[in-house]
Amino acid sequence: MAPPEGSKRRKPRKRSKKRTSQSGACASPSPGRIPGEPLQGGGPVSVPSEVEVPKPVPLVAGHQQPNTPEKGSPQSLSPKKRTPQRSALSARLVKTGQPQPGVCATGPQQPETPKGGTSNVVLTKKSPLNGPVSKLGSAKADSPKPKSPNTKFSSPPKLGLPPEASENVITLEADAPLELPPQQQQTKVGSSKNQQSHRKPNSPQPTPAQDCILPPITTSQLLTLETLSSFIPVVGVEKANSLSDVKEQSTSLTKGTSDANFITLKSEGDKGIIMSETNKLDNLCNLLENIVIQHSGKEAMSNNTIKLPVAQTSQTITGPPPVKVPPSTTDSPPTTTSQHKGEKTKEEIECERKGRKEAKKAKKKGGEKAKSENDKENYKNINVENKKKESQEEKVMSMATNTQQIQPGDQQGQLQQHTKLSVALEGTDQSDAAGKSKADLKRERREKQEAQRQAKLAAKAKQEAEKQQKGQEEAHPSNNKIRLPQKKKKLEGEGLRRLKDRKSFSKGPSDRRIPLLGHLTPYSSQPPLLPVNCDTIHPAVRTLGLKMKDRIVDGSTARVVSTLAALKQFIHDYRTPESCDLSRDLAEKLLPNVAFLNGCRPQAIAMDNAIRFLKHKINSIEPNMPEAQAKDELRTAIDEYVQDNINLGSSTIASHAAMLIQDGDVILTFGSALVIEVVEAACNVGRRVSVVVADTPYPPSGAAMVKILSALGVTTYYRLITDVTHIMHKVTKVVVEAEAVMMNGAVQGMCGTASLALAAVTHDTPFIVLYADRVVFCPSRDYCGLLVDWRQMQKLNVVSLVYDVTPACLVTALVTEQSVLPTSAVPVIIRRNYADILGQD
Amino acid sequence: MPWETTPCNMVQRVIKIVIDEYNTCRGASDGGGYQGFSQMMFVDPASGDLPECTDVIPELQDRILEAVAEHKAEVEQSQELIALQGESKIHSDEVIMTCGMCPMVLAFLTKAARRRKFHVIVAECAPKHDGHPMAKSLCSAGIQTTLIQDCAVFPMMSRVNKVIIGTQTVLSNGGIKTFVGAAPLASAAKFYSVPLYVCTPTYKFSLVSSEEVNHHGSGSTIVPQDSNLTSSVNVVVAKFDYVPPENVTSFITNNRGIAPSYVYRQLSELYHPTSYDL
Repeated sequence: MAPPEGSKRRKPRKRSKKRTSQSGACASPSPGRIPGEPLQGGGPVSVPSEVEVPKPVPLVAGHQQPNTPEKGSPQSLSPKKRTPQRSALSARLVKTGQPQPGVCATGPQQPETPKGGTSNVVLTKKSPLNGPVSKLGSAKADSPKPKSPNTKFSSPPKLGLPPEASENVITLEADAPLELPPQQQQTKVGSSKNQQSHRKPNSPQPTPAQDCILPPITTSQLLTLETLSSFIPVVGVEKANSLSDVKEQSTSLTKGTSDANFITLKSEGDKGIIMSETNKLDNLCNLLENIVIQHSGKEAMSNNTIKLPVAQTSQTITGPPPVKVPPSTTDSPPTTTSQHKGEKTKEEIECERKGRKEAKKAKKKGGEKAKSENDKENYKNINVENKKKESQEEKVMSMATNTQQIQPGDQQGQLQQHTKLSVALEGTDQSDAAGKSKADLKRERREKQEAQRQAKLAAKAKQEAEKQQKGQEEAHPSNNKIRLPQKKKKLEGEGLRRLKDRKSFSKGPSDRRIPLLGHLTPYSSQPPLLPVNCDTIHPAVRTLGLKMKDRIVDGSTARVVSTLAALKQFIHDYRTPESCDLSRDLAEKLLPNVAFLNGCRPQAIAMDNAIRFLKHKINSIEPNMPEAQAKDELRTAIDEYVQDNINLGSSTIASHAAMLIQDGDVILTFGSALVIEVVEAACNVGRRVSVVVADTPYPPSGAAMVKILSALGVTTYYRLITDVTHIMHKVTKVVVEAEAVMMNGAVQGMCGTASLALAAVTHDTPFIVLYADRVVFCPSRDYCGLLVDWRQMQKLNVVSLVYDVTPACLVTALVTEQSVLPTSAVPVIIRRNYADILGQD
Repeated sequence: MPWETTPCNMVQRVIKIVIDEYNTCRGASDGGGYQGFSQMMFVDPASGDLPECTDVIPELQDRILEAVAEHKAEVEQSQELIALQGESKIHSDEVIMTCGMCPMVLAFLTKAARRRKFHVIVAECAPKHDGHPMAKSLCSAGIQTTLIQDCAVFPMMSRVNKVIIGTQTVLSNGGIKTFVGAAPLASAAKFYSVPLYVCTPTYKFSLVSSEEVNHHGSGSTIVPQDSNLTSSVNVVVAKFDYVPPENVTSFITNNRGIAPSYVYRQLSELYHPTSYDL
């Protein structure tokens, strides 16, 4: 009996592996080994047992064969276990289960929310973006998330598990948020930091998760009640046991959380692709962490590196088991994992393991139904014992009997209260574990397969959007890394996830190339993949690049100054190799740094000019000049460049422009610091001016300017840029600031400058451009939640342009450091100022 | 709501119908069928001579009711009729720009999307952000949609083949009174020589002149929430934009395409001179 069944089962299992354990399956061959090695050497001291455990599991995952007998046996045994009650329950559940998909969908939402939560936690300190991000996560959770479970894993309701199991799954999901906190507390007690880190994310999660879950819970509760009644549990001790078990698990699984996260990540992200790419991922992870380390100032490398492999091993381990586990267990755990990516993974893992153990138990004990909890305990025990299955099973059996008896009583009481979801979870788990007949299993498998097929199709379409969302959410964590190196430990799991997401994200945009604007560089939340060689890019440059990418450093002038400062640092740390010329070698070494900056964010034109200047200086160094002197020269040249072109520029421009302003002028402008200076200068000269600030809603960069101006006593009007035509007849001059001026006189400015120019021209108003860039009040641009789910829509793109170009014919005058010029004079100025630079490329 | 012109339009239209019916009835009895037409052509608005409706025509009431019902049906069908022209106005692989939410434009584009493949760029239309639902419904109709912010209208305009917008009112000079953001859009289209079409049913043709466009709403909607602007700062939001007739290429109405310069003629057909000063 057993062998044929096992063979039959294998097929479905394999399928399930493909999806659920994809991460595990793919990972097992290559990464699984790799992680194992580091584990031995550097594995965290706290969890020696875990280290041992993971190894066997990946092996199983990879080969399947060793596991299959085990699973096959439970399956064969399972029919015995079933009691008529359960079958009846299962039938009911099946009926009820159909509606459940929706319920399940609600559950799955959670997985992403945890990300958002984590990101929020990390991000809260810095970026205002967190709010929107979290919103995104939650919002997504409501609608899009349901897709994720379906796509990645076969739809939860269809799970091979008896209907009960499906319910359990649901309840698990629902409960997970609630239960997690206790686990975490325990984990805190047992294991310290990692869990805490996870915990934080959890706290925000529960609310949305609960909302989604609540309706499902009621059904699950009913089911659990039925199951409980059938079981007639005696003792109430169970909870304590389970809790203690949980604690144990938590302690043993301190890594487990991160691992679980990782798994979920994999499953969510690119199922098939990720598997193959695990090696690459490892490399990338190492690189990332190295980067972080550099930034942070060398945190414990050993921990990070060690942990990463551990996480992978755990993943591999966790991943495969679901496949082999009886269908019910397999289905439920993945769904839960996907849902609860971050913290709930522990529970999920536990559930999976419980399922296994349950199956084993079922084999041994034909009649006992309520062993699921026991399985949990057993599983924990198993972990501790390094999976000595037989002995464990026996233990488990004994444990299970005790625990089972205890649990039902507790559960009933709790269920009555309806308050604690965790109870429902336990009950559901137990019920799930109990009975599956072969026929049921087969039917379940069929359902699964169908569901998987459908899910695959749906998943493909949805994955992209999800990935992009993830990418957005995760973009912030990257920032956090840079800023908050202390949290590296927490982020280990995230780091892996991040890498994966990055890949997925990189795919996403390429897939969704915006039709008309494919030539533009989209804002990517991830840093460029260039910096694979950590040696070639100076830490200062790397830091600056990431800052510019996130618009912490924004505005062309600020970017130029900081770029030159970073390059100055680079030159300062530069040592000429013995065999090389300083000028040549330095110029060569400069290239990747510049390329990195460009990759982080396309260079401002002013930056380009400055770098050309620097290259020119480097090239003009005499070959026989001593290194120290050459470097001194370069540094002084940089300082002079900043002083002459930037520091002196703005004040001269302000005074020039103030000369153009007459008494009683009404000035229309965009938010810009330079214009404020101009207005100030004009006021100092005794001109009475009023200012109309045209603003864009996202970002409202003009509001700050209005404040400053009104504080100066200037009459100020605040208008949206679309309203400009209504006040244009009052305006006597339009003054804006340019980001860059092109050779043909066209002006690159903040987006909206051109429409101001057009309005000015149609009203015959002078349009004056100030050309010396300054920092513009410009927070990072994101469509804050207005169209939250636009990435879900296949054919919808949201574009937020940063710059536009105003044709030269719309520009009346150009105010530069030198003088007030018509645009036709631009080529002359360029030739005069940059003649030495222009020659070279 | 002084800015709503459509009710006034309807009243004027009904007056016109009544007068026309009266004239036709009397003309039929007189045997001269051309009077209504000639009267319409040569009436002197200044004198506003209302024909002396002294005759008692028993079937007039029925005829008027019938005509009004006909007009009502025409109004109800207008959107459908406009949408039907979508195919002929939009060619394949074109890039269309629109702004804000207008059911008329939405119907127009969705109808055209059945036979044509094109790309729509939607400006979000800032204070109200009408463009967001518009973009959503467009892309749910299977149209490739890109949502941009308002200030990106100008840079994007160089890629656009046609601009199609809706309107609140068509003014007597051929200009339109419409949502805020249309004026920069139209001038950008003009700058790039991109044709701008206005989807409007004929009942939106109004005798209002362009001086009556400005209505201002509360400025509080545009002030960023986190900024504490002092009360000395003048913050105002316009309710409508005025797009001058020279920036409008053509009106797409339920009857046919109408050039802005022809609007006056359309008005004289739609409304009777006696009701001009209503």
